[in-house]
Amino acid sequence: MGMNFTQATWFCLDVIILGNSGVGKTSLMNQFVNKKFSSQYKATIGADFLTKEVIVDDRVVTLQIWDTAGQERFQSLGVAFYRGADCCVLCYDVTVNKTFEALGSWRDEFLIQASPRDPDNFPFVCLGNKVDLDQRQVLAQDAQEWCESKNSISHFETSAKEAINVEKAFLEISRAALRQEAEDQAYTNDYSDTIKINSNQSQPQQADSCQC
Amino acid sequence: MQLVKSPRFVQACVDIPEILRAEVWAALMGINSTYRSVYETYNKTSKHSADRQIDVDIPRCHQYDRLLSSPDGHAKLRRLLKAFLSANPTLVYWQGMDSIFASWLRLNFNDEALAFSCANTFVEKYLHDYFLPDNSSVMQETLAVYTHLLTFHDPELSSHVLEIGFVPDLYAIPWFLTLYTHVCSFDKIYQIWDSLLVSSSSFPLCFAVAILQQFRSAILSYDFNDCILHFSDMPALDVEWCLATSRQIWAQTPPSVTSRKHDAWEACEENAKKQLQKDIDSHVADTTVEGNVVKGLLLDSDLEWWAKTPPLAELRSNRVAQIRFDDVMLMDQYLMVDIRSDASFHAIGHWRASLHFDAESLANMSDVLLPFK
Repeated sequence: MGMNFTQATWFCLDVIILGNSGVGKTSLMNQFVNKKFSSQYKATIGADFLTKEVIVDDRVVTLQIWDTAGQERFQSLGVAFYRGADCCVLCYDVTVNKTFEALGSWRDEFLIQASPRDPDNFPFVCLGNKVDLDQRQVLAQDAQEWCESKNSISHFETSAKEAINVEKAFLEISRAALRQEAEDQAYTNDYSDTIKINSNQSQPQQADSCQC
Repeated sequence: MQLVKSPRFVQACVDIPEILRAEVWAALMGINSTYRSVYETYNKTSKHSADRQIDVDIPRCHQYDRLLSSPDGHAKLRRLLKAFLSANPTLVYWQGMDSIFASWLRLNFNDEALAFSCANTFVEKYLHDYFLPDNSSVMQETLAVYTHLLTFHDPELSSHVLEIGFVPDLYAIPWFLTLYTHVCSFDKIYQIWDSLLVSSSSFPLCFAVAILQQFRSAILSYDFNDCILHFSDMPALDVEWCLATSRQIWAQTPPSVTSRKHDAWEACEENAKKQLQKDIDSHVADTTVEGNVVKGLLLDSDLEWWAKTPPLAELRSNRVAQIRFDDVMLMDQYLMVDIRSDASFHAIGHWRASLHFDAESLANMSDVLLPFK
């Protein structure tokens, strides 16, 4: 069932973080959620999950962030949580060219597994992590060009260690996810006879629970 | 197996002193004296497609430990993993394998070859087929069987987690793929493995049920997000309690509940049966009649539908395990309730010790059933 899109609605937005092993997916998530960095994260096997409430354009939303295993093999073990994602974050390490080259296949694989309604306009955000290190291999300009070629994906260069651009990137991620969720709901409502969108006379919403 | 009967095994069941653990475990793995020369034969240096992944993982593997975080520790672990891939060309490197090998290396830090032999045998015995390039059917089978085990021992908890969508695919894969080495520190791993190494490969599933039961009351009050956040990092385990509980679960579970196709011991048994059947075939003319009366000699293909292990799709869609008839005969501590129609119950036949009432009145029968709980 669809729902009315109102100020009072509390959104749960699902975000999936993808990218090769060791690019810093877990670190980025932890820097954003817990404001902490550790150089001793262990490899993620299967998937990890954290949530955070954020305010996007005066709206409170709960981000549900899925951190995934970087070894592509794990995709065969089920990626049930890909479905229903509102935004996909593609990560690479600016000091390892291979991790950047892999972004295309991560994007394609996600679109196959998640099969979103409108794949061409599904929101991705691209993060080049570890800008605090010196040995850069991926130029910002090259990454920017690639992102533009893929239907203008937003691109940020970040450092999970120094907390550079992390907040900013996740705000964009939240915005993109919120737009996607709103579009999905408008779509659902369009195809539902019983629900009418009416922004003035909103249905009472349960404020203490997520509309997932 | 031969090992089961040895006095060494019986003593290991009681307790394994820490200073003797390396030796006792090697004995439990049945390592023989040629292990050093065998290890020498494996290639540990040439390039391999898994190198990059291994190099990314080793600096993140149990680095709180001073041996594992040392340059020597990194080099040894790398050689062990490469030797394993060279020794098992059909298997591949899966993330998490590093933690399994690290656990054996930590224990035998000055005897790399012994660490290898133990880990290699261990993987074959407890993680059969898990490291195939595509292990999805193996893992799906394990997760389905684990769900059945949870339902068998704690139906209320099992219903709740399935209802809220807290499925094992989302939390238990690292538990089973690494046998807890990726989610626990060494002190806990060794405590858990002391029990694992004197049990069968279904013990890890029992331990997972025990983990859920330790947090039972919390889980029952949790929704999906609470549950997944709770298990996102392994919560503080009461290892002693979980071990005692899982040993109890292990002892009280009918074998058919946990039987899996991808189980090294099952595979051994099946092969032994086939060989025995062949021997009989060559000596006895009417083998079908002869074969069927000898207990433990039945091949899966000869079995009636109710005695077979269901196919994977069916295993996964069933929440409840299908218990084989030979197990039912041994389950005297259980009460059997038959909810078929009167006609089936009387005309088709029934188990003599079962209670019979129809499905609709089951809910009203709680007064009758509760005392048996």
